Amino acid sequence: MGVAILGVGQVSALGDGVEALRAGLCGERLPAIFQQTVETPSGPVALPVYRAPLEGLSRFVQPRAVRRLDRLSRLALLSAHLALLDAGRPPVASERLGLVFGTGHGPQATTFAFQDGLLELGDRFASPTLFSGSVHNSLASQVSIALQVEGPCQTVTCQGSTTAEVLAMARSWLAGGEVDLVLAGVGDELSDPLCYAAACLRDPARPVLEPLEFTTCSFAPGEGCVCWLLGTEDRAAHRGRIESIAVGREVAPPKGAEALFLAAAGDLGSADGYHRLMRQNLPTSAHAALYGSMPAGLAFEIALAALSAGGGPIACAESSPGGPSSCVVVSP
Amino acid sequence: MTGLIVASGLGCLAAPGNSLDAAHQSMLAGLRSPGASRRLNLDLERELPVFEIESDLLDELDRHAFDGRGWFRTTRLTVLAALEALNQAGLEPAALQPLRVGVCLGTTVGCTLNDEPFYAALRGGQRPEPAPALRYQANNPALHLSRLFQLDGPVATIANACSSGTDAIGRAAAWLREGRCDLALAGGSDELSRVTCLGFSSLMITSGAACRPFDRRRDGLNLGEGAGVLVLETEAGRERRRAPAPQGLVLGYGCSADGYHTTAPHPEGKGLRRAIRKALDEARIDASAIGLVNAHGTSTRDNDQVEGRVLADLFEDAVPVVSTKAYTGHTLGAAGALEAIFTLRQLRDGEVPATAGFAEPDPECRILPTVSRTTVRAEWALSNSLAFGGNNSALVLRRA
Repeated sequence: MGVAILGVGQVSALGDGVEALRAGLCGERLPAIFQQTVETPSGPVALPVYRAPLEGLSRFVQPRAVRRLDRLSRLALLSAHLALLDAGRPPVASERLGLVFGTGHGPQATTFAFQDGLLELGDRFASPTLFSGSVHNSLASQVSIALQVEGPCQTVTCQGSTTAEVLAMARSWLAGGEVDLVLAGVGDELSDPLCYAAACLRDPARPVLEPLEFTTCSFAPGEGCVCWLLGTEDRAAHRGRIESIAVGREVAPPKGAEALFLAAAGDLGSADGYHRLMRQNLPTSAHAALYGSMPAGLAFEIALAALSAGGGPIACAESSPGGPSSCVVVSP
Repeated sequence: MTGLIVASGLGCLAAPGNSLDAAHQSMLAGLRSPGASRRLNLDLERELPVFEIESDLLDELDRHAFDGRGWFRTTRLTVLAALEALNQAGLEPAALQPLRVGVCLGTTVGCTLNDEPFYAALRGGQRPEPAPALRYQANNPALHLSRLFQLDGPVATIANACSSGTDAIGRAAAWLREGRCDLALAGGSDELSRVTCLGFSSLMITSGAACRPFDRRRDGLNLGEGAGVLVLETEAGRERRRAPAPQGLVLGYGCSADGYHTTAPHPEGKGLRRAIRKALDEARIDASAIGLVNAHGTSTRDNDQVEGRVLADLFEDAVPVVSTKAYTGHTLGAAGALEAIFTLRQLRDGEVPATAGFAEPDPECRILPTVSRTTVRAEWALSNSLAFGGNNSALVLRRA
């Protein structure tokens, strides 16, 4: 069964909203990249960091209402509001709306903020607010509370398989008639330890992110969130359709795919998997240089595919080190 | 039973025992001994008794020819539970490779970069090796198990806080029904960690003594650690491979958000009622068919009150209700899986342990959990999980 994409919301270093993503794809807008100098065991490393703006959230909620929300939950909430807006806010009963979010690292900055408290004040002064905000499902739960979603609510975290499973879960709920609509999102946030690890691993001779260069590491950490409002295939698909979802070690773009969008992110470990995905010599591109390296990358590739002119199905794929590959086919 | 989802193997480790047989017998005997953690150094004002597994699990893994030294404790727990479940299902890991095998596991600690020494060094201006930031990704429970056994099929780690294990079982059953895999390893795992101990303590929902689910004087939960893994497959698939008799069936699953509060359940249990209703509908049975309930039963004031009321409304006739967290502690991402496994064994053997610690009924809870080792003649059972973030999940299980 296919899935209709009724609306897309996104926030990334390109800005927020679908038009920001489209402008980036067309070369009309550049992402906000901050150069950060990180001290590593082998000396200082200049690290490009893709930071997403959150100012747009105030268009939807009062700043006071979200002052205690962790950053990742804010990214998720903004992208969810944008997806609903993009879809024209179709009516749906609260218990007939499902919610599934994926994340590679979870609210990691909050996890470390919690540890800051332990280091500065001691075990007895651990922060309950930071702890409850540090669990991986905080983004889904905060969105469910803010939007009063009462349908199924799930969080998936599985590196390269995350986005595919998020979409597969949404498809299951829709196909089974459990819900009428699903808000499905995938997001990640920056944290100092992750930036440090990236700086340690990247090749200092590579100043920019080169996603399809598999011989060296040009990893440049990014943050952001993509959210889709999804419906059954009989609905009018405002932003295209998810035609198929596959996960496995030998996954390949299916027949009929006219192009291949890869969520390659400038790291070395996934090269074999990406080479397998490219065997069919489809026109291939990777757009991580627009949004940065992060586990949510496949979600951005799918969003970009849905916006691409041309009309043919696009296979969007991701490979994770040692794990299975994922391939999601999108018809714009 | 073609098309039905069967559990053909069950495996678990938790404080009551490092195998399902050991844990089941220990609970029936009413044995429990929560105490201060022997592994974790915690500086708290009051006692924090936990249900801890003594072993570092390396010898147990070595007996299966696995070197677990580079693995997180959560990963070690996961692999050992999976090996026990596979053995009961009549499978060696190598026998899985021709099949499409999915792995769906719940966790909280197992997907989090909680490496305090690494972070302290970084924050202190040192330049530590980045290995911890990579190791935690390699230890993602579902991915690790899929890689270790060289499996080919869908993979998902469910991070839904305390309902993760229940959700992982429900999701794996959906994969099988949709034909996405031939067989699935499903469940959950979590180790005790300083971060979760200090976090739950800061929320002031931990007890300074052994927990007392549904008791009027209950004053909080005890944390625990463990793992539970089920081998799930369709009955048709089990028959094709001429496998041993199934341990039970997973026939209904439902989940529903409260949309209410990050750490407190909806006072009327709205989401839990919907989740149970969905699970019953999926199993195509009425609540009156349920003959046993394994409650979430954390022993916190809010959880037990809300869950008790929902169960009292749902089951007009007295149905045995047990909280096995009285023996395992709250094992977070493992809890739902352990409890589903215990419930299947209890259905099979017809015996349920007492809910240890319960002595005085709480009129606010409106239910009486088991007070002694109890014989049950039930075909169907319900297992509930409630989670941070207002998620509620339920499984309907059937005796084989």
